[in-house]
Amino acid sequence: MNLDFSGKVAIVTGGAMGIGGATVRRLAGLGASVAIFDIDDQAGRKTAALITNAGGTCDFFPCDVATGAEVSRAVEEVARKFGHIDILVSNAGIQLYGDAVTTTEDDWDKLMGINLKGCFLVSKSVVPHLLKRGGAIVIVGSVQSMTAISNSAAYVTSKHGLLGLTRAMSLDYAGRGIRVNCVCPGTIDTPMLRWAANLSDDPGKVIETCNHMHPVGRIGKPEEVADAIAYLASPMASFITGAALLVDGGMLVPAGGMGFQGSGTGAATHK
Amino acid sequence: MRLQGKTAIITGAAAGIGAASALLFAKEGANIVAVDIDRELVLRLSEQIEKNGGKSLAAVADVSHKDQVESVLRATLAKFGRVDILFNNAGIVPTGKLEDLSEQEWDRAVAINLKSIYLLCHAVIPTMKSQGAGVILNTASATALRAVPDRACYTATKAAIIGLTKSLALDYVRDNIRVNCICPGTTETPSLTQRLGAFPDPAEARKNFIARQPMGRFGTAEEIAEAALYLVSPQAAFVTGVAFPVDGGLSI
Repeated sequence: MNLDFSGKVAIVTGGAMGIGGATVRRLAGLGASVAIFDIDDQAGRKTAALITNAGGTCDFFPCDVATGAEVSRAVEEVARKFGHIDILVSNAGIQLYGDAVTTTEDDWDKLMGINLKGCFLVSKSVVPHLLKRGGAIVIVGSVQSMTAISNSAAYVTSKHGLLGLTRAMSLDYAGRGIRVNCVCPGTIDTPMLRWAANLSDDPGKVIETCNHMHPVGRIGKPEEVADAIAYLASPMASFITGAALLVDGGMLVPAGGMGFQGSGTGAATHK
Repeated sequence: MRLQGKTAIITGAAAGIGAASALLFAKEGANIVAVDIDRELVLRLSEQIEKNGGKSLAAVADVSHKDQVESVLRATLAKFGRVDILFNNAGIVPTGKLEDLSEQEWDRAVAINLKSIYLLCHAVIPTMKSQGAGVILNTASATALRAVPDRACYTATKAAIIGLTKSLALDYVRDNIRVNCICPGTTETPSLTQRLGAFPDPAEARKNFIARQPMGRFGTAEEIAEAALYLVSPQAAFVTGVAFPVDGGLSI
């Protein structure tokens, strides 16, 4: 079966850049009409223009996913403009660092509002449309939907929550034509990662550490996550729902992390 | 006695798993700070603990509000001088599919089930760090491991609690603070009776709920409390960051 999204309408939240931007390009390239939801007006319009200039169908809808009224208005605009909605990629997210003590209440609320509640709000508005003709939701989780990294209490919590929401919705709509799955990327070369690396005095070293953390020896590309999303959104995945698909270069495979593989038990027996 | 001389804050302590844990922890020698929004029930529980020969402080608070959480900590330190155990157990069970769930219901459940844990940990961890040790236990749910129908918001909050548990376990492992969560299955509590009562035929609903239990019965609040006791006790000193199912096999 080929990946063909002709005649399909997809909404991608946080679609202006990073994994969202790559997903917009991938789905549009496979024939879908794509609606970008993002708060970044300039980047959103630029991504949409790149696609329409290349002959694709894409439109930008300014939208803060944490605000219910903005979300329902944007979703109804998409339905009006394109006639129906088939696919939702819930990708919008932010990263903030801090442990449970150093994270302020405002930061906690802001991150939860975008990462977790944003997915709820967009799903809430989109599901009634998907129920009409069947559809697929792909939620962008993280390896941090299953494990934790230090000093990221709010982010880890939100990403675990998204996997819970994936499973809950997949079950609630399994008999009604909507599949819901989650992709769980490892470290991906996105503006968010570059931002995070630049918080350090030596961003190059941070990226190098990230490369080493993945058994394949490098971080991932946004396009590699977009491919997994396209697969899960396509009829090729028609028997898959409620799943969490790791796209992490093997990151979660080694017990004790990659450091342990070089010097822990078993290391001395390498031939 | 496994918790001799320890002070434990337990939220959602007035009934169900919280009340059973408060009584059990007190029996094992802990001073109990019983936190709940239900004044009458939490006072009654506290009296019962005292009558059994234990020490208890009843704290009436809405744990989704920062100022109320902070006053719980102040009252705890004023009465007992320390906090060794924090059991974040308060929670509500919003039901229904996502399309029928209002934004207000979502916000309320996320505030009570999830944000309360942030607020309590935010308040209590500095005290535990200065004491050089502490134990935190959170109540997640078996639904965070395997979904059940009509629990979208509940499942999202409970799965998020597992994420928060692992994060906290990692961030404070060097501070000698252990953080775990329990994942109870369907448990015989006032909260369950209330949920079953919402069905047109509660007796039929009870039968259906039991039918999905591999063991053919619900758990008891006392059984969950025993698991909580293990995880907060010194016997679990090497256990941190786990999501421990106590569910009669529901999540299998």
